[in-house]
Amino acid sequence: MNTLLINDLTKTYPNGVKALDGINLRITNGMFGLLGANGAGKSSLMRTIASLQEPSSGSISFNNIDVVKQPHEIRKKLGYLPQEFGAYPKISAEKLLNHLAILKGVIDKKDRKNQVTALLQQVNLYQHRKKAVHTFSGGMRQRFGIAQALLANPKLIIVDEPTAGLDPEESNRFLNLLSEIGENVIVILSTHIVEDVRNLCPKMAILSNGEIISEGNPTELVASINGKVWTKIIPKKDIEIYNRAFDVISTKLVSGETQIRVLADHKPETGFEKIIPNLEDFYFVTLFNQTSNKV
Amino acid sequence: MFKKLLQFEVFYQLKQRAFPLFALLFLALGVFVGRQGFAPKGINFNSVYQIYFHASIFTLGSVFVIMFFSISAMLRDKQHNMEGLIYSSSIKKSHYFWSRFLGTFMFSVLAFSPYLLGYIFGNYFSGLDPERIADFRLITYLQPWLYIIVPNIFICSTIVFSVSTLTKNSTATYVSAVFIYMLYFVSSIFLNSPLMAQAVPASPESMAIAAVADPFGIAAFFEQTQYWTPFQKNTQLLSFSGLFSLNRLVWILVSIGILFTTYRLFSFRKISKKVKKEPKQKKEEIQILAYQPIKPLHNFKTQKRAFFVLLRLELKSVFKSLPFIAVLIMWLFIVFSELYSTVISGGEYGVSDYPFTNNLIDLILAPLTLFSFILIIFYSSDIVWKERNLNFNLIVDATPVKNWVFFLSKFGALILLPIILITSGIAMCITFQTALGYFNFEFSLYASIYYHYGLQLIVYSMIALFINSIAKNKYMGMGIFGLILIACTKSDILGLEHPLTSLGFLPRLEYNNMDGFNGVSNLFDHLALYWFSFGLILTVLSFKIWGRGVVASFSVKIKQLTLQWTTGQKFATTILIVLFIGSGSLVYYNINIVSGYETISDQLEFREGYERKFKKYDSIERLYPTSKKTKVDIYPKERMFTVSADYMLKNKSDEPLSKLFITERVSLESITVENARLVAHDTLYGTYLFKYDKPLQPNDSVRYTYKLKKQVKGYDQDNSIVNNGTYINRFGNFEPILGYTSGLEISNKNERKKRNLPERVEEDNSDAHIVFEDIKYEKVKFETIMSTSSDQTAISSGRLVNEWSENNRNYFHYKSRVKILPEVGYFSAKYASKKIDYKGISIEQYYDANHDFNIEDIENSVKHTLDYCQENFGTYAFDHVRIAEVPSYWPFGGFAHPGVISMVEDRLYLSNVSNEDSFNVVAKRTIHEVAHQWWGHTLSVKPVAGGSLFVEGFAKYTEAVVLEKMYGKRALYTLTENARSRYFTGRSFEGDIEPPVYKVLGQGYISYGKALTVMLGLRDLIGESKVNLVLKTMTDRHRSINKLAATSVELLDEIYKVTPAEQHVLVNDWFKKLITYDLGIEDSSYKELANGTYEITVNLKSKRFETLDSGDTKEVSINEPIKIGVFTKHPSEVENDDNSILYYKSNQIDKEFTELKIIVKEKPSYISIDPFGTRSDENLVDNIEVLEY
Repeated sequence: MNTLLINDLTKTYPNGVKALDGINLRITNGMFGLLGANGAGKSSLMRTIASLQEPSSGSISFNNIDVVKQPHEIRKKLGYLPQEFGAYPKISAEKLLNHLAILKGVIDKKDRKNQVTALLQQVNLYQHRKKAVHTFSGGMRQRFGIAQALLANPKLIIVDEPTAGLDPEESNRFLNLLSEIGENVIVILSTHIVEDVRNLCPKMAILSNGEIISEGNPTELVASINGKVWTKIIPKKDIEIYNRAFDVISTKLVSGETQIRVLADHKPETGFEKIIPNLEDFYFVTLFNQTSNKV
Repeated sequence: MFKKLLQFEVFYQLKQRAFPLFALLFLALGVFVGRQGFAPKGINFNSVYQIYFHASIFTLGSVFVIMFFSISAMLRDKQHNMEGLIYSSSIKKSHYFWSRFLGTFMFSVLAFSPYLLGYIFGNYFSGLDPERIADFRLITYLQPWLYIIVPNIFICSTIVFSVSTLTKNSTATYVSAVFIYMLYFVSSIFLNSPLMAQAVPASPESMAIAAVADPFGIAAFFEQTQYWTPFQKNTQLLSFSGLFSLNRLVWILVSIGILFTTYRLFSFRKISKKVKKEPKQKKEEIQILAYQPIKPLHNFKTQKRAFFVLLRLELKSVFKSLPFIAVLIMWLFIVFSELYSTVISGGEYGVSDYPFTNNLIDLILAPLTLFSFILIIFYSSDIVWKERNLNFNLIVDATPVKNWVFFLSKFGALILLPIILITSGIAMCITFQTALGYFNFEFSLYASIYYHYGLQLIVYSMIALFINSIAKNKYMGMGIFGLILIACTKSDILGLEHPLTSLGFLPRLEYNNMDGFNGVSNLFDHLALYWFSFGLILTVLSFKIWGRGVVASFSVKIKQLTLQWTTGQKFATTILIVLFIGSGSLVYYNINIVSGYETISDQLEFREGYERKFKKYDSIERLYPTSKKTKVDIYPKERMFTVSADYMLKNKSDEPLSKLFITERVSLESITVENARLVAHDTLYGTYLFKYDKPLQPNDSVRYTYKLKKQVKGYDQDNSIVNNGTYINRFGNFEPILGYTSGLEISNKNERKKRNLPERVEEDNSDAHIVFEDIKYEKVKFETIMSTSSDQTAISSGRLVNEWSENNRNYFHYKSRVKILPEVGYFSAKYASKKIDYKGISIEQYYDANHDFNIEDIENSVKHTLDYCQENFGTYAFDHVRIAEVPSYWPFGGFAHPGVISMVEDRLYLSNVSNEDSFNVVAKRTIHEVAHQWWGHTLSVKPVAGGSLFVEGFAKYTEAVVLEKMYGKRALYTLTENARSRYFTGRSFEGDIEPPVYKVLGQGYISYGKALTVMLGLRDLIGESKVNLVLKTMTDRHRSINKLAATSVELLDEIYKVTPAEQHVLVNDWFKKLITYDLGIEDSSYKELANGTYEITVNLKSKRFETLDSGDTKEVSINEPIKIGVFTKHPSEVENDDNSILYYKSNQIDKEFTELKIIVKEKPSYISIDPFGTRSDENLVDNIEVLEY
């Protein structure tokens, strides 16, 4: 069983921005979803765990390896897919994977060839293996990134927004692959797509403004707001009125009509209907609570 | 619409931060260049010529601005993904294209033009000598702007803009800019542009080609101004005519052509990469493999493996990148053309040296440094920042590869770049040697390049790596390192001229075949260790701050430097610091303490002090030696010699003398003067003041002795005493000066004024001075006993009286039979020798055993010269001609001592004259030096104005007549052509008023150049026998006078005696005035007559000019006989007795245009006026014409 312990992790950038603010987490084998809006600090956290950025304070340890002090040790066990990346021009996908495999310590030629081939097949790039990654489209490049993260034998896989830019089929395929692997290793998946977390992750955390504002099993978390979410279809012009009157956690268009969701222990008003909340509602509730607490 | 677009373009480019930056940069450059005050003597700092010169060179710098603006004009849409929007809008193609081009062009001009403003500012506000600054005239600055700057920027803009428009690729644009540089350098090397320091002056034909072909107009500018006198350079504007105007028009038309072609080719659509046809996917039955984790290995072997794959990746990407390919091709091309133009197509007089390895290496060193710098600047930041720029850094940084592996792979790739250049250059050299059938490759010498030049480049790579590691981004790294490199070359300006403070400075080692690497190598080794450990320290520091993942800020990097030192790092750094300080101290000790380091201002202080303290002794009458006996012991291995001298000094004045003042050159161990005592001795300035016990009466003599020891200490560079090839001569003289020497005074006028020293008196050059100046030096009796190590031979002037070995040393006793000029040399080397007896004169050659190619030619030339000179000028003064080889660092072809001649290895012994058709430069040099035994040593000349006419002028004349006897008129053609161009080039740099021939002082362009032309003119006028008679009369008269007495006034008298009275005017014109000619064949034709002969009709052009004292030139009338020749082959190929001269007679020419009819018996091919250089004529091309039927 692998264990990642994050203890009071803080990162302040030189310009004063607090990207991470006292993060505490304990993560074990399996998929771990990190949910958060853009700019919430997901990438900072991921990079810090991947030893690519030093925290201002706090500690991270993986199976008793101190990530901050022994970055080299963690890298031996790491698979990392950054949110965005480029590649060397004129080097084909197969060659680049091969190159990275050597850097990761896969020295045996036959092993390496098998693994590279297998990965290319898994991410559906096998027929494009002779093409330069540099020329890949966004989705293809992303798939390449996933393949390289799985090279060698990673015990801690960190994937930053992996499904961005993938079409639903590719996305599914990829997530299946991850969850298969995730049985014996830690996979940390950052995303702003709630659906992905709900489908895959037995554990998750919500990050906002550098803080963990909620953590737990998605189903249990959703259960905590059971019976407290109400919905109503309203005229668009009335949004402001409702906002002032109720704890509106989300507003969205459904078939061209404005639907609001409100957090309340009792039916707030006539016309509201109780709904069974989903993870997305929980996410919005958490965010809503955080903002209203601050105010 | 167009107006709006242009406005936007202007607005956009103005907003670029780079624009004010560039403008400022060029302004600063202008100030820097303008205030430098580098102008040849006599030329104003702000003369038109100087402004053109600098403007034309520095417009090369505009290329990079143009590159920037082109990229920002044509590629910004693509870079910002705006192409789709722009191209789908309603903008017309023409509006779009021309507005962007105009924007590029205008802003390039605007960014560059501040250069001129800065230049003006630099000229007028930086304390340059006000006498050399002319009054401000706008036109002198405006004309270069119009003729050079604007057209050049236009030409470059069209090229670079077209490339960026058509390729839409910034790398290609970059390459096109580099390509323009390449074009310039290659054309200047190939076409012998005078900008490149070429030993060989360009031929008029290649000059003309270069003048049109050079896109920057620099060659054209030089073509028009090459023979301008300083007067013209100061006053004349360039004329928009001739090749210059042709060049400008041709290139502007070519540019417009390029621009319109680009406009037509430019399509208003996105350039979509040609979709490569995908190879049809074969429906291959692939076996689906399941993903299996593989346990990786993490040990040293893995890291090693990672190192090699990373290094390979770096190198591959460098090799595939266009800038590298461009630089490599350019490098090989330049190496090839350097080698070719020197080794195959010849050096001076078209004669090349044998391809000795060191000769070839010398040729490739200058471009090596330049090209390596380009590679290091560009690729240091490229390599360091590669993953970051590609945004691939997070992926590789997360792999378990150790920092040192990444670091070393990048470091390795970087230092391999100069090594690749060196290796490919060496391969090229070896190819040349093989092709020329030369197989003594001297690999160790080739290998030394890596150490002597590669090491320095590696140190610079280390510095570059450090700068880039600590910099915030790629461009900052590149920029800072570039600035540092520039600062390195100008470290003296920053007050860091000491070798320990000029970053990365390593001395250039001279190598010659006789002596190998001379003594400088100690300094080199120590400094190499110093800088290399410095580089390594920086490398350790760069490693310490080697960032992974997210780029750390500068302050974090600095913190990283101080934290987390491992024991290994501490240990290594300590050792390096010890090495650094240790070698630095060693260098400091040797330079500052052993050799006594002097800055330029220290030297000036010394000179000022000497003058102030001792000028009062200048008026004491001097004593002159009448006999000299020396004992010189040479210790080549120890690089030391000792001298013990015994002279007789005579009071040749009319007054009794009471004091004697002496200034030493090498510090003396002892000094005595008979009947005198030392009353004052200054150890700082090395001066001695003696007082006679009783006054020394006129014509009385005293004995004078001194002893000294000279040892090359520390890093002293002294070419006179070396391991093999010691040559102590007037340039490394050890003799104390018998008096005060004005040679130690500060000569620079400004500097004297600054220090409140009185103005120095100009030398008097009147005829009266020439005749009456009392020169008291005389020839002396000379005797020396030399000793040297047992494997060397020692040589000096005089008859070899005795020779013996003792204490494992060789002894030689030389004693002169007659009194000689005390201009003696002391030689010692491992010599092979060849001696023969020729009509009672022993011809002795001493040379390096490996340099025996030309021994026969030399001997043969000596014989011819002795024969001719003895027959025409009187008997030879000695019974031997002793010729000794000296190493190639002596800056002359040869030097004539009494009876002994030194000849420099690479200019005589290594010259390849095996081809019968080539000009025999070996014969030429030999004749010249042997002739000096008459001209200088037998006919000794009063050292006043006109003196060098006898010494060098007559030696050149002897060259001409003897060479003509040996090889025919073709030799005369080459010789006179060389003298002519030497004269015109030399006078164009004359800082003072040009003297006429009979008053020549030190001006080599007159004594070696015009003097020959004049003497050959005289020979045509009165005949060779009469000229020789004059020379013989003079020689006979002065042979037995023991004084330096012959003057040019006396010579002219003798010439008048044998010249018909009506020709005296012409002789006067040549010797006493500055007369130049413009001769040429306007047109010519011939027809066959009925009797089988041929009638030639020719129209001659003949003009004469006189240069006045003011420097101005006026046309004067002509009436003199000039030779016309008709040949069956080109005059440069005419040999003795080959019947190729059909007609060669003097014709009286008395007007500007003359028509002549000449009848010859055979079919003619060439006609020429003055084919063998008897008139000073700037343009020789039109003197010869191929005859047309």
